[in-house]
Amino acid sequence: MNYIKPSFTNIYLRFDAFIHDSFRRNWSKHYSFNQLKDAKPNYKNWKKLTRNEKKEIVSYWGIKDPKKSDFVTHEIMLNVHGKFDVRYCPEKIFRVYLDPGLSDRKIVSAWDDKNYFELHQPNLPFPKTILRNVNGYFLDSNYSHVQIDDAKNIILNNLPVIVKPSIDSGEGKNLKLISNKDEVDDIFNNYKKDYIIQELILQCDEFKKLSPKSVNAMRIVTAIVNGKAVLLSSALLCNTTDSIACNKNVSAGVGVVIIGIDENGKLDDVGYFENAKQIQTLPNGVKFGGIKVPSYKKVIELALKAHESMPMLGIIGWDITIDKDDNPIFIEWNLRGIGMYHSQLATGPLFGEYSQQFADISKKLIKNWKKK
Amino acid sequence: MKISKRVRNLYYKLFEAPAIKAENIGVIFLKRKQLRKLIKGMPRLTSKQKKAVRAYWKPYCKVKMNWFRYFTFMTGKFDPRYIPEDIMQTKIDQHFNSRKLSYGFNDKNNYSLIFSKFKQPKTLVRKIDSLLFDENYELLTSKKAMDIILKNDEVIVKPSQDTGGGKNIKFYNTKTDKKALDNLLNGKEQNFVVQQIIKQHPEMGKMHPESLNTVRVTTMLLEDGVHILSAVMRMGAGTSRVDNVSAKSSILAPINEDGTIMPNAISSSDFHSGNRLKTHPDGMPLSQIKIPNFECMLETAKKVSLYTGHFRFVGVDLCVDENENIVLIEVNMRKIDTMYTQALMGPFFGDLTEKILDEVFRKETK
Repeated sequence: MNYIKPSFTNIYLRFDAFIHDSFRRNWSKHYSFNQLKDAKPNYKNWKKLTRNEKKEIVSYWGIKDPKKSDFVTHEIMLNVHGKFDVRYCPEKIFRVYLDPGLSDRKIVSAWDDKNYFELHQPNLPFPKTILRNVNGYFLDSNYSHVQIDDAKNIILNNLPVIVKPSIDSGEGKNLKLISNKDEVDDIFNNYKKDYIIQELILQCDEFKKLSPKSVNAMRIVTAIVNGKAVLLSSALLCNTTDSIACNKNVSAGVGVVIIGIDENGKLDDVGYFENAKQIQTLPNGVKFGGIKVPSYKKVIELALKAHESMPMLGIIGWDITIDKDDNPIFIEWNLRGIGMYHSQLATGPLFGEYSQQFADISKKLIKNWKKK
Repeated sequence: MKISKRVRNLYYKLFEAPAIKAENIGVIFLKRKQLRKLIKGMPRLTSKQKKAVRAYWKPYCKVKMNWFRYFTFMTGKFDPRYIPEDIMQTKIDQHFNSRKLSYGFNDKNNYSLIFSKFKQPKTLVRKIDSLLFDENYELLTSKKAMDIILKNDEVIVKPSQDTGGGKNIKFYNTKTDKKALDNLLNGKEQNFVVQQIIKQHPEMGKMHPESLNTVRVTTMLLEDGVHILSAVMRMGAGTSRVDNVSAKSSILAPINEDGTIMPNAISSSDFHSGNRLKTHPDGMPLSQIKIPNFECMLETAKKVSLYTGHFRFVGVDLCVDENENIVLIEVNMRKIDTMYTQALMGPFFGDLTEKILDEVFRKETK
């Protein structure tokens, strides 16, 4: 008798990929025009790209039938930084081709689960986990099964705690600080499944100065180039409102400030709001230029080493903060939509000196996209 | 990306649900084709039995009578609680196991991270995305990787993704197959693991020492904890070096609670005649085997299934090494084969059947 193994499993994946492409295309268009709309009022003499510059962009990134939305990123960067540079990565190219093309699309959703970060990278310092909910079932920090009543007790003994979804998170969505006993029941009512409950992070004095209420995190982007992990950009996200999450979307993009960090860990003099508005002092009066991030070199070292052991994930955006004892704490890693626009605002072209290599990859991906 | 719940639901209804349906149609077609071949010449169900099946399954879904005909003939006992394989691999599997995540979790290069607390076969070299790594995920050159491999007499190479059914598993003798190994390390294949060969416990190897004989423990995570559904011993036979069902010549035998094997096995080349084996084809009576450390084995399977919370219905492959340690070989997280287990042991979910079916089908109708 022949044992028949169904070969239909690929249909689902192919179909999924096809649909995702069209979704990505529309969302990236929507995103880039929104960015343009937000940025325009902040600059008086809005310049436009010349025809030659547009041609250069098309040939550099290998864009097929160029549309208006392909040039938006360059137009914003031209006005913000005052200089044209082809190496800025267009939003659409990144979201549609590079982001899904660099990382193995099949496995990304499994590696994105916060409940498994500690298993995937046992050497990295993560915030202390108090309780996890995987698929509706409670597990303690050592992955033993816990009944709901016990789960409540564990949370009550460890207040205050932070609750965040473990899958499909991002932009500080559904993140909540629980500090009262009365609020514990809300966790069970509001979150259905797949969330993680962690200890509150106490950040270092330097970060506390900037904005005391939110946890400020560095957004560090690393990528795999020729089998080695390289640093692409590092910036600090700082929330000027009362929200705990540093990257929480506040209406009209005002609230989050992105500040570039140089090689030695010093903050740049100029920061940017999400609507591309430049500032030098935070709304609370703090001047951030020149502040040094503690143990910055250690952070980069850890991130690069960790990324090198996961070469199937081509590009990663790490969210890292520094605790009160100046030790780095890895809040999460982002595998999809790493907030490239913010990084480019604060630190210039995302791929920097490796731009040519990534442009070549993008050309190849665009050329072979339909064959895939 | 911020997408509202409504858009997401619409997206699921329009695109994801039809894709899953298309995949399911394929699975159902293949499984029924397989059954039609097996069922030739088997006695039909009586009308009383048919009525009983219809009454039992009425609240849940429509079922094909042939499945019950097959299971009844194979086990010699009629029971409406048998689960047809096409329903098992589509609706039940879909409910308990997340298909989207399974591609990432089922990576053998990921096992040593996720299941780091359990003993596993020692990994020598891994290839991830055409880069070579050692056991602890440190980069290697192909020369260094070769040196590590050559320290052993024989190695096993398994593909790390899209695995199952012993597919593409190869053995290499490091003295004679040096060239083949070199080709493998520098070749086109992107993802695989090279592992040391496990020296199994003499008791486990008694029947057929050439293959690694494993125990497949199937578990289910329910609200009151992990339940063990079945434990089946799988042995190779003849010249086979793997014990998978698809290897055609393997023997499946049920296990008693104390770890002894029931002399009531079937061969994978004979899933249609209803013959039961009391002795292994190589000559040893089955009742003489007792699996060492069986209790610990079940405990391990329970713990393993807690690490795969997104997959509540898993098949854990375990074996026992020389020093009576339990070694984790593989965790099957989707489309677990239950047809042969049911033909061997009776209804798969046993007393839990109603509870499980209630959960699966009530949620679906919502």
